[in-house]
Amino acid sequence: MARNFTLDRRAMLLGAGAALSLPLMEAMVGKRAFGAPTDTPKRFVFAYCGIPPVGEQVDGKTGKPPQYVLPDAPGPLSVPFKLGLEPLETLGLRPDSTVISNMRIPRTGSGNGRRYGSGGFHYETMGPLVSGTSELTNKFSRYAMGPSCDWLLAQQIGAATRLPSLVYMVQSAAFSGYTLDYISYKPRTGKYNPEYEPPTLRNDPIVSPRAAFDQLFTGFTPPMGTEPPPVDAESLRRREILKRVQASYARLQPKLGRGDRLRLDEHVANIRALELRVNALIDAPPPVTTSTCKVPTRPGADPAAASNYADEDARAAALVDLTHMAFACDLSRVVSLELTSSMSGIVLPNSLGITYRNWDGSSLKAPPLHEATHGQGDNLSVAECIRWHMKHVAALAKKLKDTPDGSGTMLDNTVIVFAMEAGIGNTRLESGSVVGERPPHTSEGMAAVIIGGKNLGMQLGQHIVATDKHPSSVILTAMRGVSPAITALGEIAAEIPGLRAGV
Amino acid sequence: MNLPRAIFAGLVLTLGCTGRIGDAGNGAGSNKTGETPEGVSAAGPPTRVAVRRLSRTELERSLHRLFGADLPVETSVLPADTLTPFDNDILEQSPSMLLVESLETIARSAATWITATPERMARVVPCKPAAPDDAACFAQFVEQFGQRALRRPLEAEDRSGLVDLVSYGKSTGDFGEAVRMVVRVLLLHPEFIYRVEVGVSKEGKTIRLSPYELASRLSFLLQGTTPDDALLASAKSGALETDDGVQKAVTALLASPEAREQTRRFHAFWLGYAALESTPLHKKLRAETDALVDRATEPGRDFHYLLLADETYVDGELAGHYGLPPPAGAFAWVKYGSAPRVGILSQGAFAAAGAKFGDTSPTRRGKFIRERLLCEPIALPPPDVTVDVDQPPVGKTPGACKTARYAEHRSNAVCAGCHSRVDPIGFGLENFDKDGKYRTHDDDHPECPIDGVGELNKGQSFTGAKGLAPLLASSPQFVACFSEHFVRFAVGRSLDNTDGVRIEWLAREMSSKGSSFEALVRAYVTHPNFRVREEE
Repeated sequence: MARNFTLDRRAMLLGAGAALSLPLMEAMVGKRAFGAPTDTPKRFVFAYCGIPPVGEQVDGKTGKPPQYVLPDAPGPLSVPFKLGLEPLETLGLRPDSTVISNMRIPRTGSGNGRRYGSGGFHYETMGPLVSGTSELTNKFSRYAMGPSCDWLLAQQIGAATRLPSLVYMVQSAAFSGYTLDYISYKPRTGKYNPEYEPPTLRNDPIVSPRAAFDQLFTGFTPPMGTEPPPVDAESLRRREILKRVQASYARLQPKLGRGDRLRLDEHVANIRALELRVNALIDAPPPVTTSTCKVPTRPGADPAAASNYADEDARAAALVDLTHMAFACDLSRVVSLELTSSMSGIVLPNSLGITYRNWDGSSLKAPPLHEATHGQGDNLSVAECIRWHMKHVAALAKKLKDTPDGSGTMLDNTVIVFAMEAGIGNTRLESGSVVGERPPHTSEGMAAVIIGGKNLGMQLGQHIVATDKHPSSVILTAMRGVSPAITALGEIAAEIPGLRAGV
Repeated sequence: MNLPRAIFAGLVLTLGCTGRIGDAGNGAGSNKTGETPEGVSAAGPPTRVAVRRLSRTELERSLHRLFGADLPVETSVLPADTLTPFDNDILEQSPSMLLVESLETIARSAATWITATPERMARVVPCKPAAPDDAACFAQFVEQFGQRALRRPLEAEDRSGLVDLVSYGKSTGDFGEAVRMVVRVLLLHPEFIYRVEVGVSKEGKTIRLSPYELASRLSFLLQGTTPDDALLASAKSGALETDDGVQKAVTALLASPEAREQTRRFHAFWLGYAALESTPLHKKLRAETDALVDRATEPGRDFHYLLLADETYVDGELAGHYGLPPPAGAFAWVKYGSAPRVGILSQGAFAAAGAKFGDTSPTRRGKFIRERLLCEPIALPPPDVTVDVDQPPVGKTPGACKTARYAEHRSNAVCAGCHSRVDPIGFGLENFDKDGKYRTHDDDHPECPIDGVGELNKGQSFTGAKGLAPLLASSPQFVACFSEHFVRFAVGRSLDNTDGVRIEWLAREMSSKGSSFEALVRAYVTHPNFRVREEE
């Protein structure tokens, strides 16, 4: 028999002020969230790769960059994928995939524009891509100026699960000499000074698989049969601790000035949200959703970084496993997975199947990922780097495909968007010379891959050449497949024609 | 943010600094005696300080102080600190669910660890419990640990919200269970993870700090960690309410190994080598620069030594790297002699911070020196210019030497404005490769000789580090800029116009006392403004 979820009155009063600033989705976790699902859950994954499909190499004879990632011909995907998307081919996922290419984020002008060049290219595409919101002021170059796709979608469907969304990052650190960009943002609440503060706050990603495990499974016991599992003593302790922390703050809050209060209110709102989550564990355990829900082994300590690499391959695999199990246990339905940051300093070692070469074929010492797209590194090496990213995305898709879900598979009810930071450019030959915007620093010729979502209306197994469409339109199309209530992603309201049934 | 020098010049400064406690800016606390807050205006108005979260390092060090240096702390689960260039910028400290979740994990781990053996538990429990629910012993523990964690004595309501957790000892038959609950509550307490300054009195927007809050300020700024028992005792005894008491506390803090480490950390952020790669070579380069910072900041030593040191701290490998005579044995100080090296400008850690594209970047090095050592901002390129800041100038002639390619870049009128201010400085240091090794030509291009000739300002040409270091050292901007960075680190935010007077004053204080780092620190932390804050 399911217990009733009741909010402790004391906690309610203590949390009242804080709850006002809680995002809707975090305030909505409760009994209703754990009723038996009326239909099969719909899920969304946004996976981001911090490099484009090609490096600097452009063929002087064709005017185009040799590229080993995107299909050449539009239409049905009738030939095997090229090297960069090979993992999809190997795992038999070509029929579950659609590639969308030749898109662009306009460089200048009003509306949907990427930032102008002052802050450097890498701050120009990420924000507009993930949020569909342009930013032309250069004031807050490292932020998205609107909420990101995962956050927006979690607002719509996040209340159905214990965790409205999961924000993961595989790359563990900025690494020497390079910066780190984040891809998940929520709107800033309360008053703020737009001169000094951006309109969004980043949703800090979890980089540690162990922390991701703790978030998902601390106090969680997969329910079996019709009876809820026994209440976990640790959950009771957590609830007590979180209540007492809030009570302490209730005493402190009146002594604070406005600025300090706003800041700490938001912190304590998160404590309150965590308490609600723990309460839900105690009072309203989730129903059995799939027989494949199993608590995995808690990951060990994170590997330390050495030579700009902290075993991100194992980290990615672990986060993929946890994402799969989060879906299987219906703990969340929205995931932001940043594999690598824009302008990434990570060094992907040769052991990952990447051979770094110069244009002339001579070997190259493994460079930071960002540098692999520059200089004389050939585009084949870049494709091998993309292949490493895709290896993990495809592994997730395969796990989902192998998991029964409703009348189909979990992949049928999940749409994965794989997006890359930049495009292949729009170079061409004119009078024997290469003209146009060259890769890799270009928002021309951008591409994305959709994997899964058959039951969500996604039209799979094709290559759509969406000339001049905005890449955020791909994300929007996928979001609308999951929740038709979504009408826009920032300034982007148009879907990609032919990507979703009826569009 | 850089402060326009006009701010300094345009303000009327009142000389003198009596340092009387209570003579805070805007009259806070001074009305009781009717004294004029002499000296306050010279240092500017009270500092605007907001509630701040502990950085990863501050949290780790605080936990080590609370539980012992052998406590494992998994800081990697915490949100990353963004370096701007320091790790404590409140604008970057967004509250987040991840923060709460990771703190919960860290608190649980610490609580489990400290109660795992009787010996460890004795570090936080000052008595031997007679029973799992020994209320008297538990109360002693709550009192002592509560004060250490919250950095202030517990109030009655704090106490009552903790002592009843002894019931967990009774229900489980394990006193440690009750201890764990208290530890977890306190480590999640907003007053542990944030530095909250409520103050003891308020006048207008100016808040006078309590002695405990002052103790925290001193400890976090000078040691990068929570106050120890001795400092808390000084707060309790009233010692921190006298100038003499504060001076003594500062002396004790500055003499500690923690302060030395904090000083190194500050310099590493300021000079950009905090995120240096962890290769064996870079670890040695870091050790070398840490040693230089230690010497430059010794009491009584002129801080310009940082630029002008005629010696460096190397082992045989680093000496070989630099082309210096190897020291006998392990690390030791070696004189540069006739080598074209001096101070930090020729050290590998500093050189590495200005590297890019797998090579040196004269633009980056020049910009770095302008912005970090002289506090002269370099504007971003105009919005309508297409730039590729990730790539060195390629130039129209394939294979052209670096100087030619950059010169071509500067010939573009749009780029020239800024690049002519930074590139020539960087080219003056081009003889040092990305790790500070001396070279005479571009990497892999013997046909491209490097002459090491640079220009700081019009008419101030120089050759190499030995030429540039004296120019920088003789500029009053160097000390002013150092002061600016120190204030920024101390307040944990970008600076605003109200900070200008303070920085100018601090630079004067430093210069008037032999340009000593310690003089700057003492001037800052013993000034009445350090005992108040301006509320946001």
